[in-house]
Amino acid sequence: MQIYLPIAEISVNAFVLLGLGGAVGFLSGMFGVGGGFLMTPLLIFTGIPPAVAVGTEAVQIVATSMSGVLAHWRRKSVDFKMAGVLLVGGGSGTAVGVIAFSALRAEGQIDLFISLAYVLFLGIIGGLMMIESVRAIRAARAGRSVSARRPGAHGWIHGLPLKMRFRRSRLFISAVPPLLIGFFVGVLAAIMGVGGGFIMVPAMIYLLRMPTNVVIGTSLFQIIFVTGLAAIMHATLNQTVDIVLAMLLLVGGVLGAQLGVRVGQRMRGEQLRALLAALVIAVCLRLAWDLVATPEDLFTVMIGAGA
Amino acid sequence: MSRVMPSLVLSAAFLLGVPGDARAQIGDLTPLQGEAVVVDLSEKLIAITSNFTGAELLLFGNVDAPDNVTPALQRDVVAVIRGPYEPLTIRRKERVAGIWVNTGAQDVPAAPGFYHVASTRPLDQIAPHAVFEEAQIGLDMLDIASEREGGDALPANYRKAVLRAKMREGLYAEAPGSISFVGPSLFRAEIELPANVPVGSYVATVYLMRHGGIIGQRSINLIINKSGIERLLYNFAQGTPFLYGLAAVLVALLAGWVAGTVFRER
Repeated sequence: MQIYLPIAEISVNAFVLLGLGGAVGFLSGMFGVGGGFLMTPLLIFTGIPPAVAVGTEAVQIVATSMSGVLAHWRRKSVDFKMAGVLLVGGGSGTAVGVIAFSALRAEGQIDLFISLAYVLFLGIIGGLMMIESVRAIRAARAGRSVSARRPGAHGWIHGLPLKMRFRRSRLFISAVPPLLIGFFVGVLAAIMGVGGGFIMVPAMIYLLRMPTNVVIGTSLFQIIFVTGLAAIMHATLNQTVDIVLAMLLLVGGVLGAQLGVRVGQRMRGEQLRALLAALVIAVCLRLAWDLVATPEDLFTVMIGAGA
Repeated sequence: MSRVMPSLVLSAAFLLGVPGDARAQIGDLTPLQGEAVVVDLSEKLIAITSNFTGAELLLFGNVDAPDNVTPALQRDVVAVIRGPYEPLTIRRKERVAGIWVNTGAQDVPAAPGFYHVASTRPLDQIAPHAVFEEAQIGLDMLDIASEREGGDALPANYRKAVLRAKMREGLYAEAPGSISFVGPSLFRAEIELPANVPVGSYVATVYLMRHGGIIGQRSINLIINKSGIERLLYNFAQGTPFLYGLAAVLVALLAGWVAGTVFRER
């Protein structure tokens, strides 16, 4: 069934978009990531203009994260205080990111920058997660138990000022690292059109050493606000939010996410991380290939002034 | 030699800003007594609704053949449909340190968003180059950069890139042979409008050609517009973008909440 998108101004197959939303929503629920790092490239691949893909994806991430966070909320696995600190950094990071986005777009380098950022971050994070989870799986097979949480191994993070107590996370750490992480992810969220969960989740586990059970809920909770802000900014500044497209994606997305949350709970943490790592590496390689492969046409023609 | 075109046609062409009363100095271009072209479109207002997947426009017309003897083969009809003009930015990639980077860019203040040439035969069989050049008929003749600042021409490789990109999207096309005569005087052409066709006002100009020159022309307007819910949403997003963004986020929150509640674990 073909449907015309009023803002993207193209006609697309509604079932393809529903399926896309469902598949990405499933992964999103399973891993606690927004799914934007998969959905944004996939949308561009189906012919949606990149600017519309980025703006619309922000709206869809708000919905999937909202549906996902409710289950965590009921299980009390959301650290609201930690999310608040992350958000203070995230809000300012999003604003900085939007300014950088405009500047890069005026120079015609935004597409390249987005691809490079994806390749860099997905490569590093996917690689690190893969190494770590494979080690954990091997250790588990050998009968040893490996704790992801190693109390007392805080190192330099322990020496920073502005110490706060995060009860849900059972942490007493400085507010500086979460503020910086929030800011950094906010910048990436605005520039790359993602929620930033794929960076936030590992950062919480490995840098902040939060217990794994509160990581996903807290990440989803703060993503709602960061992407909500990004969506409103994209709609206001660029008019690139297509509500019809967002609706199709989120109908598929919320259904997929519900299923994903259940499947994710039945899987072991290290297997889940290995799977996510493999996915992240695959997307990274695909984008890296596009950077070096000779394009079909060396010229790109865009409607609108501003070379 | 008097070449008086019907004044109605001339003034219509003038009002619509169609390039040129372009008749070349070749052959006998004197219209036969009463020979004129009339033309119409199957639709003059195309509404884009949610199930819009492109449209097929039927252009049809009549060439008066007063003597009923002049065979259809001795004349040609060329139709040009021009869409709303829009600014373009063209960027060129180069390999820098192994990866492809945009290194050059050119601006075009106004290029047609849609340009379709339908004709009875390939253009080079109908009339000499100069005739089409003067009337700006055909993709080779399309003047993409006439209004550029400083008057410098758009480099040829950038020009070709525009044509290539627009043809790929189905927005620019030349369709020789797509106009066919039905009987001695009636002609018709089907014009494919893709789903990504730009919104705005279009002009279809039909040129009657004989002996390598233009002997008559007629223009007709076409409007393509969004309608219904599509129009509503589009105007909302363009008119009050902040409220639109806020509404989109609220709808997303609600949808997520509903889904999360409905699928609550038991």
